[in-house]
Amino acid sequence: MMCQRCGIRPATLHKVRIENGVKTEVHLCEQCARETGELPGQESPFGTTFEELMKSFFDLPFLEAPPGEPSVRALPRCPNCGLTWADFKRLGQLGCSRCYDTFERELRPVLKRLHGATEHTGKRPRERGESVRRRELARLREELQQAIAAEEYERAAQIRDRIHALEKGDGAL
Amino acid sequence: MSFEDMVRRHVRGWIVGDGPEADVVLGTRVRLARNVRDVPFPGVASAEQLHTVVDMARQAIAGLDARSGGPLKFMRMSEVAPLERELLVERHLISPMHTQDVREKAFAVRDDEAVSVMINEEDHLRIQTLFAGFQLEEALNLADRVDDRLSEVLEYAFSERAGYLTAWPTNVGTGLRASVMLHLPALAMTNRLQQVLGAVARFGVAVRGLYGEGTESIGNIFQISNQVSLGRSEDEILKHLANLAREVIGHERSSRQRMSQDRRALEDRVWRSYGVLRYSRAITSQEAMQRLSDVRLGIDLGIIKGLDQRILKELLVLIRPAHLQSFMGRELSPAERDVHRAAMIRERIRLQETPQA
Ligand SMILES: [Zn+2]
Ligand SMILES: [Zn+2]
Repeated sequence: MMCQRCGIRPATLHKVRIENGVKTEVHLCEQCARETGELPGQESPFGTTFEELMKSFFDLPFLEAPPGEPSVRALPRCPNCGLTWADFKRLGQLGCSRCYDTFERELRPVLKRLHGATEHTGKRPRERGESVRRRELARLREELQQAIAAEEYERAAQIRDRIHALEKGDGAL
Repeated sequence: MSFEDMVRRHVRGWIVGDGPEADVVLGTRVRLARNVRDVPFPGVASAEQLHTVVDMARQAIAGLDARSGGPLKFMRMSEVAPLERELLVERHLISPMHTQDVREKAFAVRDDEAVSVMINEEDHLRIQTLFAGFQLEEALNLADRVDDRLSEVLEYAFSERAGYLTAWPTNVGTGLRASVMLHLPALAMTNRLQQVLGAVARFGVAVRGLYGEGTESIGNIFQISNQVSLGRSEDEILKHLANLAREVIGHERSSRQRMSQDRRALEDRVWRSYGVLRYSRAITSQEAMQRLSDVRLGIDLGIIKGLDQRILKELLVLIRPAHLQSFMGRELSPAERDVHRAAMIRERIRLQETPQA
């Protein structure tokens, strides 16, 4: 649904107002909501209000089924934390990191709307396991060269097996 | 506690420093949201799971040395007295949410308060850095160092596609929220605030007033921060925010310049506010902040001399209810607070001034 004021951006604030017995619906994008005072410009220095806003509108028909999909599909429950999609819509918050996999399909349009993107391009955690593995591989390859140079073929074969196991990712570190 | 002890005890770090662009930019804050893999987020996790996170975080944080942004002092929120918790909120070190339902919540802070970590707030970890003035890169670098070291001990919830996984989808990706706190009195006086802040808000940053309770901005202090956290790198996010902040800074400075051409009205306003702060016997926090904003502008424009710039930031913190009550050593009614607030401001000004009226 598009913002009824600017008609450009998608509406993210949905309100039903009843005045003198007349029901009117308000659908605004965030910016128009701010400009019309529907959304208070004052927020806490910790930035919770944007999130609070999210909470209030997740409840409303914001998360429509992706086009071309049947409008109702049996949605799974996150196997790790037990959250359902309905819970998410009520809370606005996800239950655990695995929810991102469980609800991947439903979340994609949400992320697209929030961030204009769905793919992370920033920092990655330091690869603990990976760097240990890489260091170990480098050390073993050096050892292998030494074993070959010293014509210790039996030891070289053992080292080579260890390298293969590590490269396949099933070698204990 | 003497006044000077109070100041020494509570005012440090970004509050006393100046930093670049200090005439407009009061401070810079960076926050990284991080979670431990597969453990439910704090909103959903069991007490036992949260307890485990506190223990893991405590161990990881104990490993922070000077190279990795530490050392930090670690405390469980249940061991922090209620008044102390409020002090931490007023100093922007924890969120109000972190003072509620404190079981299995924890907090760690460096002595200069430039680095802090909230444990089990909305995410398992929220790493925060605070700098004086306009220092986005520095703030991110420091947060990064803490984050890198912690990630060697903790296994973070991270996906190749969505990045760092967070409780709110608004934070996913980089988990980064960078904010710049701006003092914009000239834009406010010339009624250009709406226009300028509205313009930058159109480019995907959030604009907020400081300590806003109603719809009024208090003390002409605003914060702008990035809204998007996914799909752009940390550097791109910072660059975008920095450009918009620079835009606002430029408008504020040009407004100041224009205003100072009609000096009489401005000087009158500045000195009236100075008079109120110097002599009033009771003052609300709202009025105090507005007057402090005027006085700070007066200092910046050279109208008031001999008074330190930092008086604004210091007093913004010191006149808050918990700080006043901590100073007085007892609970105060709102009316009493107004009286003690006025006394504290008079004292603070007296400590410094050699003004020539
Ligand atoms: Zn609109
Ligand atoms: Zn889950």
